[in-house]
Order: sequence, then C-alpha cells, then structure tokens
Amino acid sequence: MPNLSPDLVAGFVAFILSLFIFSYLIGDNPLFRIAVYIFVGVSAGYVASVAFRQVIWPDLLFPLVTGTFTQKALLTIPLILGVLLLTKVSPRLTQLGMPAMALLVGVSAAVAVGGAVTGTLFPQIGATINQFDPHSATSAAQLAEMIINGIWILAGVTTTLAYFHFSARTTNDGSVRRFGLIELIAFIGSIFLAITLGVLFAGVYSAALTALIDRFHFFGTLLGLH
Amino acid sequence: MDTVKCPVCGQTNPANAEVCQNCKSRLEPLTGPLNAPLQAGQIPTKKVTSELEPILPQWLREAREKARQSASEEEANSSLIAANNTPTVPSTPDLLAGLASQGNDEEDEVPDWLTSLTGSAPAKKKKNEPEAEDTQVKWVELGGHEDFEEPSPGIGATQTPSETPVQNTTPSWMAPQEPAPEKDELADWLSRAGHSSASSSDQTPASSQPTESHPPAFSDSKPEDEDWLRNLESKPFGSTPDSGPQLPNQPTAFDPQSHPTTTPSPASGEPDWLNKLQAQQPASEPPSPLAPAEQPSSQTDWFGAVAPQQSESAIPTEIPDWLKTFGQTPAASEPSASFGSSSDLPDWLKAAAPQTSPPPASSSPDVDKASVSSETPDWLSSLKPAEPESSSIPPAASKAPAFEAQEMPQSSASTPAFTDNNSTAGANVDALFASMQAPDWLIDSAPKDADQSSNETNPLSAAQKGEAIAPAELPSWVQAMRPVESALPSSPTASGDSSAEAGGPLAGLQNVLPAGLGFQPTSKPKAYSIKLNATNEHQTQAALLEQILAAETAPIPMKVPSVVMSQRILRWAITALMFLLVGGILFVGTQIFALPARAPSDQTEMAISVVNKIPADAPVLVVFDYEPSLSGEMQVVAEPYLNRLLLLKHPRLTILSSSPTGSALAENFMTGSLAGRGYQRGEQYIDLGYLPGGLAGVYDFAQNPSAVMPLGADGSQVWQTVPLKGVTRFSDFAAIILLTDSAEAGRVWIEQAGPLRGNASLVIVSSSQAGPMLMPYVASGQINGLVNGLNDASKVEQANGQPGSARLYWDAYSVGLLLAAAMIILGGLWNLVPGLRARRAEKEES
Repeated sequence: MPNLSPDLVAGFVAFILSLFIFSYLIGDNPLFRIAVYIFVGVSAGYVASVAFRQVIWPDLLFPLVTGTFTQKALLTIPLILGVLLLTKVSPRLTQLGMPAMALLVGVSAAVAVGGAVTGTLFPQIGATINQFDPHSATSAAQLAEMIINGIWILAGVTTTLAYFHFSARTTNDGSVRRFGLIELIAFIGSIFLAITLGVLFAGVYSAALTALIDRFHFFGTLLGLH
Repeated sequence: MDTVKCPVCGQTNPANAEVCQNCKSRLEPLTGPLNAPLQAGQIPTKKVTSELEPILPQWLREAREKARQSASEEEANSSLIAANNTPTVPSTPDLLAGLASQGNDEEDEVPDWLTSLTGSAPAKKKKNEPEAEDTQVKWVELGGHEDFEEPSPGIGATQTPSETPVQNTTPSWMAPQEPAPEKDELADWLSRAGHSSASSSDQTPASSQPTESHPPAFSDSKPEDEDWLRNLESKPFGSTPDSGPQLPNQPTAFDPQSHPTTTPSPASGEPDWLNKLQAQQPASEPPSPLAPAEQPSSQTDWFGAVAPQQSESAIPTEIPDWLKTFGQTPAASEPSASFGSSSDLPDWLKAAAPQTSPPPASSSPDVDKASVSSETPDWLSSLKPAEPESSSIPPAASKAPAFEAQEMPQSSASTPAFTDNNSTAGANVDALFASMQAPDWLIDSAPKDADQSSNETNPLSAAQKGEAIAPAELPSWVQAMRPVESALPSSPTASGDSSAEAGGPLAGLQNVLPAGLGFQPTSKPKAYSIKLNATNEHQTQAALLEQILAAETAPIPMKVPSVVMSQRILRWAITALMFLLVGGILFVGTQIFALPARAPSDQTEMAISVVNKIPADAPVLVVFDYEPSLSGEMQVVAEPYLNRLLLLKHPRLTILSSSPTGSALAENFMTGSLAGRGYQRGEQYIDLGYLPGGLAGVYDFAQNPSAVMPLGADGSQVWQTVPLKGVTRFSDFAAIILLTDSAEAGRVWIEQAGPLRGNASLVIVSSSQAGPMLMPYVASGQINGLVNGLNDASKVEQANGQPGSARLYWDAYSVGLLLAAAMIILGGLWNLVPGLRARRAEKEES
C-alpha cells in the first residue's frame, strides 16, 4: 500500500471536487451541487471558527473575563450590541437588533463617504488636472506624451460624465432628447465606457482563464503529466 | 217629551232613540255615502247632506239635537200655521236646523252668518236671554210663527203680530214714521221705484238700482242690521241720511205696490237683499193669488205691504205679521226661514243679494233661474250683471211672494240676468249653474222644498217644474266642514272603500279614510319592452368593441428561442475546444508565445522599483484579500513579486487578512509558493489573522494597528515579536503589499489607509479583473506599483530573471485569449450574416 501523504489525499479530494465543478459544463447535476455544498459548508465553518477564534474570543470574551473593570465596562457595549444582532435571526425579535445594525450602517457609511472624498475624488481630480502640468515632464517628448494622455483622459472623463447626464427635454414630436452638444459628448463617452467594459470583461476572462490553466496544471501535477 | 220621526216609516220615536222602534232603522244616520268632489265641468248631483250629520262639527250637531228636542212644539206651531194658511212643510233634518243652539255652546265658534241664519239675536242678547235662543232654534227648524218671537226689542217691534189693524200693530218705533211727509226723499224714491219697476220694463238694473247702496247693506253684520232697524225705528225714513245707502232698498222691499204679498220684516234677520227681492217682485210680477189687496196709501210703502196681509190672516197677536205671511206661504216656510234669515250670509250669498234686489224691470219669469239666483253664492251672482236685458221680461212673470224662497226663484225677483228666460244666454246659464258650486244643504233642501212649495203655491213654478233647479256645488268653506270629504281627494279608490273605522274619533264612520290613498296606482303602469333595440350597425360596432377589448386582455405569447439545443452543443463545443487547446498546450509545455515586453513607465516597473527601494529586513505588511476561487491566479501573480522581495530584501513579513478565508490562503501561500524561501512563522513572518470591520476595520488598523490587532492568528502576543519589532504605527511598515482580486478591496485600502501610510509604499498585486479599475490610482500616485494578472507577473519574472509559473501558463493563456477573441469574432459574424439576411428579406417584403 502506497504511503498516502496528506498532500496526496488533499490533492485527490481537490481533483474530485474540481471534476464535480467542471461537470456543470454539461448542466446542473448532483456532482456540481455536492461540490458547491461542500465548499459552502467548509467555508462557513472555517469563517465561523476564524471569527470566534480570532475575533470574538480574543477581542471580546477574553477581556471580559480577564480584563480590568474599565475594559469590562467598555466591552459591555459591544457585547450588548452583538447580542442584539443575534436577535435578527428571529422575525419576532428582529426589531431589537436594529440599534446595532444602525450603528454598523451609520459608521460604515460615514467612513466610506469620507474615504471616497479624501481618498478617491479629490486625488483623482487632481491627477487628471496634473496631466497637463508641464513641470512634471522632463523632456519635450514626455511632455507631449503627457499632454496626449491628459487629453485622452480628460476626454474620457468628461465624455463619460456627460454620458451619465440624463437631463433632457421633450421635443415637438413627443420624443425625449438631450441637448445636441450633450448628446454628442455623451456618444463619445459611451465609446470610452464600451472600451472600459471590454477591458473589464477581458480582465474577468483573463482571471478565469488563468484559474483554469492553474487547475489544468494541478491536474497535470497530480497525474504526473508534467 | 221630545220625539223624533223616523225618516223611513214616519213613526214617532223618543228623541234619544238611535233606532226606530218600528222599523229598527237608524234615526240618525252615521254618514252618507261619500261623494267624490265634483270635477271641473261635471254636473253636480243632488246630495243628501243630512246624512252627513254625524260628521258635522260638534256645535252644529248639538244645535240640531236641540232642534229635535223642540220638535213637538214646532209641530204644534207649524200645525197652527198650517191651519191658518197652507200646510207647512215639516222641517226636514237640515244641517242648519240647530244653528241657533250653537250659540249657547260656543259663541266664538259660531260664525256671524250662521247666527243670523238662525235668526238669533246678537251674542250679547243671547247671554241675557238664553230662552230666546231656543225659540230661535225652533224658528229656524220649523219656521213656526211661535218660534219667531224675538226677544230683541228692535226685532220684536218689527215682528209684532198684528191681528189688529196695521195701524194698531204698528210698533212704536213706526209711529214717527207714519207722519213722515209724503215728499220725503226716501218715500219718493220708493214710490219711484215702485212705479218704475211696475211700468218701465226697459230700464236696466244698473239704472234702476243704486249700486252704491247694496254693498254696505249686505256687508253689514247683523248688529249693524239691527242698528239699521233701530234707525228705522227711531228715525223717519226721510230723516236718516246715514242709512241712505241702505234705505233705498228697504222701502223698495216694502213698497206696497210692489209687495202685495206678505213679506217678513227685514228686522227679523232677513238680509236686505232679500227685502229688495221682495220689493222688486211686486213691481215685476202680478199679484200672487195668496197676496192680499193693495195697502192703504197712507201707510209707508214697506209697512203697507205687510199690514194688509196681516189683517187678512188670522194670526195670533203674538205672532209677528211677517210670520203670518210666512205662514201663509207654506212654500216659503222652511226654506225662506233658513234662507231669508241669513242676513249675515257668507260673502257669496251677500254678493248674490244685491243683484237680486234691485230693479223691477229685471224681474224674470224664469222662476227656476230666479230661485237659483236667490240661493246661489257670489260666484253665481257675479254672473248676473252680465245679463241685464231681463227688462224685456214681463213684470208679471216675476210675481211671487217676496219671502217665499222657493217661489222667489220661480218669480225671478232677482237680477235681470237670471230672469231672461228667452235670452240666448239662458241655456248657457243653466249649464253654468250646473258647473257652479252650491252648498249641498241648499241642493238637498232648498230645491226639493222649493219644488214642493212651488208646485203647491206657484203655478209658474209648477208649470216650469220640468226644468229642474240646477244643483250647485259645495263651496269651499262647506266642504272644509266635511271632514270626510275634505280629507278625501278625488281618488277613484276612495269612493269604493266601504270599510268602517274601528276606533278613534271617526269610529263607526264609513268611507272616511281612503284605504289606499296615494298608494294605489291611478292607472295601469306602462309596459316597457326589455328587448334592446339595436340595429345591425350597432351590433357590428359592439362586436368590434368586444374584439378590441379581448385583444387588449389576451396575453401575448413570448417568443421562445429555438436554439437552446444548439447553444448547449455550442457550449460543449467551446468547452471541448478550450480544454483541448489550453490543456494541450499546457501539458505539452510549449513556449510559442513571447512574454510581454517591459516598459519603463509601467506600473509593474513601479512595483519592482518599490521592492528595490525597500530596506533590507524592513517590516513589510502583506495583506491577503482575495477569495479562494481566484487563489490560482493570485498565487501565480503574487509569487514572482514576493519571491523577488523575499529574495532581495528579506523583509519581516506581517500577514494580515481582511477576509475570513484570507488567513488560510496566506498560510497556504507561505507554505506553498514561498516555501522555498525558508520563512518561518513567528520568526520571519507573523500572521495577525483576520481583520474584522471591513473598511472601518482597515481605518482603525491604520490608526492604531497594535490596538486593533493585539493578538496574532494563533492568539499570541505578536507585537513584541521579531517581525513586528519597531512597528507601533501603520506608517512604520516599509511597504504595504496588498494581494487582492477585487478593485473594491484595493480602493478601501487606498482610501482608508493611504493617508496614514506615511512614507510606506503601497503596492497592489491584483487579479486581472481588478487591475483596470486600479489603474487610475496608479496614475494618480496613490499606489506605488501594480502587478496585474499573469501579464504583469510575467514581467516580474522577466525582471527576476527566473521563469516561473507565469511563463509556464503563458502559451496556454495566450491561446485561451486568442480562442476567446476568435469565438467572439466568429460569433459576431454568425449573428451578422443572418441578421443581414433577415434585414434584406424585410426590405424586399416591404
């Protein structure tokens, strides 16, 4: 009997489950469902264990037991809010979890908005403007390249923003149309959007193709084809 | 003892008996059959109003009751009168029989005209002499001369019976009148009236009658009449200027030439218009057979008319002379008593009076019309002036006793309008009479009695008996007194209702209340057809509308694509092609396709430069933030970059995961792909584990890493370990390398931790799907380098000078990309060709 190492067993299980997933190419089947259910169950269990082991116990329960009075008093608040969140599983008691949920939503929204403004909006506007800064260019060719890139970026940003400008007016024949200039700019913006969506699609396909190749490589390694 | 005659068998019964002892018939009928009110144009019929006695007002019934109680006395008186004159018509039950007695009960309720009808004295006299009222009742009821004994001085003076000569019986108040001068104004007028009425037949009523004198005469109430009589008593005729308007009638009434027959005294309550009738009749009529001879000229005109008759008749002294005349004229006994005594007649009677009184020339031989005119209300009298040409009628035709009410019509002593029997309007007048309203009590009693009396007394009336008196219609006020009829409208169902009332004040009465008044349909309801009358056009349009509605509500079938099987086959074909090409090239291990070229300004070169800039043994934070599904790509992409880092710089790695599965993936990566680098957990690297809280957790960790993640993934204190040595803040890390497959995760770290990273470089190693969304942050300088997908990984491998997995996958990856591009192009062309064919076919069809 050959020596079954854990890596070999893990590789065999992974191979079987991968075949089950590929069976979806011929349609929905129990093998695919088995693989999916196993993946979901293992992931949920792993996440639960990670959450309890790495978050709840070390950050909440352990300090409540071994911490100082101040720590215990401060940790009572998240404890209560966490217990109230558990009431969301019951439709009859779901209203009790609303305060904790409100706290989560409020804090997350505030942080997200602040981060978006200071971390994305202002820096991106500044970067677009700086494309036309000649001081950043060390040579004329670089300056020309920067200007061309800046024009393309400016055109893509403005035209894309114009595409999302949906204000329009009703014409005499009853149809709704935007202003002529806006319509032209929006059309250019739609081209940029189409290119962007194509890039995103290519990225998704590229990622999936890389994963497929990795699985093929795994199969070859496992089967000793390489 | 009072007795009551049975109206059926004539048997005398006690007054309090309700049914006859002989025939058992009801002595006092409850009510008569209800007659429907006359309609416009309908000829009224005679109505026996005596049957309506039970429904008469209380005061009227009591009056009649008292009248019956005095029936015996009245019969005695009437028999006495009948013995002296003609047989008196027994008093029939009349509605007005007990009018006099009502005054005892309710003076306020008794109308003045009814009081005057009964011949009773004014109210103040009744209070003082109640005995006289009984006698008045008898007088009204039976018309006996004993009943006409008026206690009133004025009336008694005028009604003093005169067995003695007229001069002796002349009352004291008449004495001053006797020596009145012949040239008295009134006497002259009377004499002229007498002559004119007798001779001039062409004189119109308007010219012969002073019209201004009538209205006050008939509009006065009885007390005023009595005052007038008192004036006559106290003043000579010619010396009463105040009575000027009234006096001209009175002398005319008592004109000896014009009144050969006995006439009752005007003071007896008889209206002056009747007196005028009496005064005019002699002028236009020949002397009645019963009328006495001419009176002495020395007497006053009116007195002379009375005196001769009184002298001839053997009337007791206590009986007034006018009663003697009354007794001598049996036809006028009852009707005239009830009629002639109505000095306070209603307006309709008063209005009729002035037209009947005046001119002798207006007397007509048409006795029927005349009788009607004397009894008709004002609505009839209003028609009289319209026919003034009665002057052509011979005066003899209107000859009749003035007080004989039944004969008066025959003598037609009234207005000329009703005396012209030969006039062209005579027929219309009859029809008009028939359409007019008259009190039913007049219809019941007066015409009947008049016919009887006229047949007996007046040959003219007997000759014209065939011409019936036109029945009149009940006036409104009389109808209002009939509760049954007033309550019953002209409903055809009312007359047919014979149900008797069982309770209430109308108990025992029949036909009082209609059974279905207002609820019974007056006519058969009109039948309506329920069939819809629709033409063919309507039906066609309705069918079209139904079709439109059905088309609107009908579900539109969805177009089911018929290429499902072909798509599955296509899917299988593409899968097979993909597996064969990609797998085959991978397994073959070809390197046909060249690796991408490196560019100096490429984001990958920036990331490589970052690695180059990191100091050796510097703390580097590696964040694992991708899902297991893309772990194959992420490991291939991140492996060359981290290998370069570990190989060149030997950094102290701190592993952090922002996803629950990241910690496992990190451990797998470090023990798998980087296993050759010899990094040991807790020595060269440390795993902080899972960072909860999402972006908030990232922000908190950037604020204070040691406070947010005090323990490692294994629960040990990690901040005092070698990998984290010297790191207290987020900016203490030399570089932050983010391994992510999501642009959102990269943006979170850029936004939340970017401002707090200080001089630490931020490099993102991303999946191919997230790279394009992170490129702007590279251009903006927010991240210091980006390794995106297998393409950039191959660059890093080129930079490392050591081919790796990227190069191994590159041909398969390239074939896969080409295959995808080819399938997209072929698919586009596959759809383009059929589309062009279909469009061409549509154009051809159109």
